[in-house]
Amino acid sequence: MTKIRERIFTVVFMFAVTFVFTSAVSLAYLLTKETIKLNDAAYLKRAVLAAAGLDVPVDAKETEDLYGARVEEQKKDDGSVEYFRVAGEGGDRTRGYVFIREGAGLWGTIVAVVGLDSDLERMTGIAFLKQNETPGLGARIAEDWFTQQFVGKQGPLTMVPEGEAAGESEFDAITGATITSTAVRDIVNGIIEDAPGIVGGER
Amino acid sequence: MARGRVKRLFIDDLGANNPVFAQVLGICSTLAVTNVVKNTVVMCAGLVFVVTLSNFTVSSLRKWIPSRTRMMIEVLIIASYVIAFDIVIRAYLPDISRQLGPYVGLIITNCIIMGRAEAFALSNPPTVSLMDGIASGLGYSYVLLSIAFVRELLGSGTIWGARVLGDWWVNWSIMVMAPGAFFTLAILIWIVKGWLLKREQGRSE
Repeated sequence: MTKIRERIFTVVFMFAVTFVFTSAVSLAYLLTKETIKLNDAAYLKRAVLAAAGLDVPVDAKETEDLYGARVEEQKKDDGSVEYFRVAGEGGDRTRGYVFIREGAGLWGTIVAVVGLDSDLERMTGIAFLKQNETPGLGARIAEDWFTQQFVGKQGPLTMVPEGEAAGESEFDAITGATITSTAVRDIVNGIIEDAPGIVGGER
Repeated sequence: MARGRVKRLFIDDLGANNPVFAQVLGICSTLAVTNVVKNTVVMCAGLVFVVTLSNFTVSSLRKWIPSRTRMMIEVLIIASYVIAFDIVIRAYLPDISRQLGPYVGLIITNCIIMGRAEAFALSNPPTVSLMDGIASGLGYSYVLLSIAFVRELLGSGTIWGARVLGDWWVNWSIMVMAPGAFFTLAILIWIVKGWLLKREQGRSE
C-alpha cells in the first residue's frame, strides 16, 4: 500500500515541479518577447546598412534614421522582403542593392545579407544575420577582417587559403573551417548570379 | 558554527578544491568562451546565477524530492534557470548573446552545477547550499577570467575590447583559438598545483 502511495506521490510531485518551472520560464519568455523582436529588427537594419557599405552609427536612433532615409524595402506579393534598394547620399540615385540569402553551414543554416553596387557587379559588403558555426573557427566569418575583405570584390568568387587572396575575385577562406567558407562562397556567388534577375527591369 | 563552515566553503572552492583546476570540471566552456574578457564575464555571471539558485532550490526541496526522480528534478530546475538567463540576455544584451551563441544553453550541461546539486545541495540546508553555490561559481569565474585575461591580452592585444598593447605587438592568433585555452589552462594548473603540492609537503615534514 505504502509503495503505491509513494509512486503516486513521485508522479504528482514531478508533475507539480514541472508545471511550476515551465510556467515561470514561459512567463519570462512572454515578458521579453517584444524586446527580443525589436532587437532582431534593429539587428537586421544594422546588417543591411553594413552590407551596403555605409558606416553604421553606434546610436540606435541614428541607425533607425539612416535606415529610414536610405533604404527602401522591395516587398514580394506575400509581404516579405525580396531585396533592399539603397539610395545614395542625396536620397535619389541608387547606390546599390542588398540581398538576403540562406545557405547550409556546418552546424546549421547561415543567413547572410550581401550588398552589391548599382551595376550589380562589385560587392559593397556582407554581414551575417544568423550562424551557428564553431566558435573560434567557422564563427570567425562574422569578424571584421573576414567581412571587410569582400568590399569591392567582383564575382564569381573563388576561395584561396587564408592570407593568400590577391585578385579581385579571390577571398581568404578560414583555415580549419572549409565547410563554412565554402558555404559563404556559395551564398555570395548565388546572390551575384541571381541579382540581375531579382532586380530585373526595375533598375 | 555556520560562519566557520561558510568560510571554509569559500576557501575550499576558491583554493584547493576549485572546480576548474582541482576537479577539472566545466572545461568545455573554459575553452570556448575565454577568448575575450567581456563574453567570459557574462558567461560567469550566468554560471554564478544558475549554480546559486539551483543549489538553493534543490536544497529547499530536498526533503520532498523522491530519490528515484531526483536527477530529473535537478535537471529541470537547472534548465529553467539557464533558459531564463538566456532569455534575459537575449532581450537586454543582444550582441553578447549572439556571440555566446549556444554556450549559454550549454550551462545546463556544465558539470559544476549538477555536481554541486548532487554532492552538496541534496544533503545541506538551503542557506549553506546558497553560499556553496556562490563559492563554486566564483571559484570557476576567477579561473576563467584569468584565462580570458591572458588570452585576450596576447591574442588581440586588448582588454575588454580596449587596446592596451601598442602597435608593436603582433597578435598571437593561436591564443584566440581553442589551443590557446588548452595552453593557458595547463600552465595555470601547473603553477597552482606546483604551489599547492609544495605547501602540502612543507606541512607534512
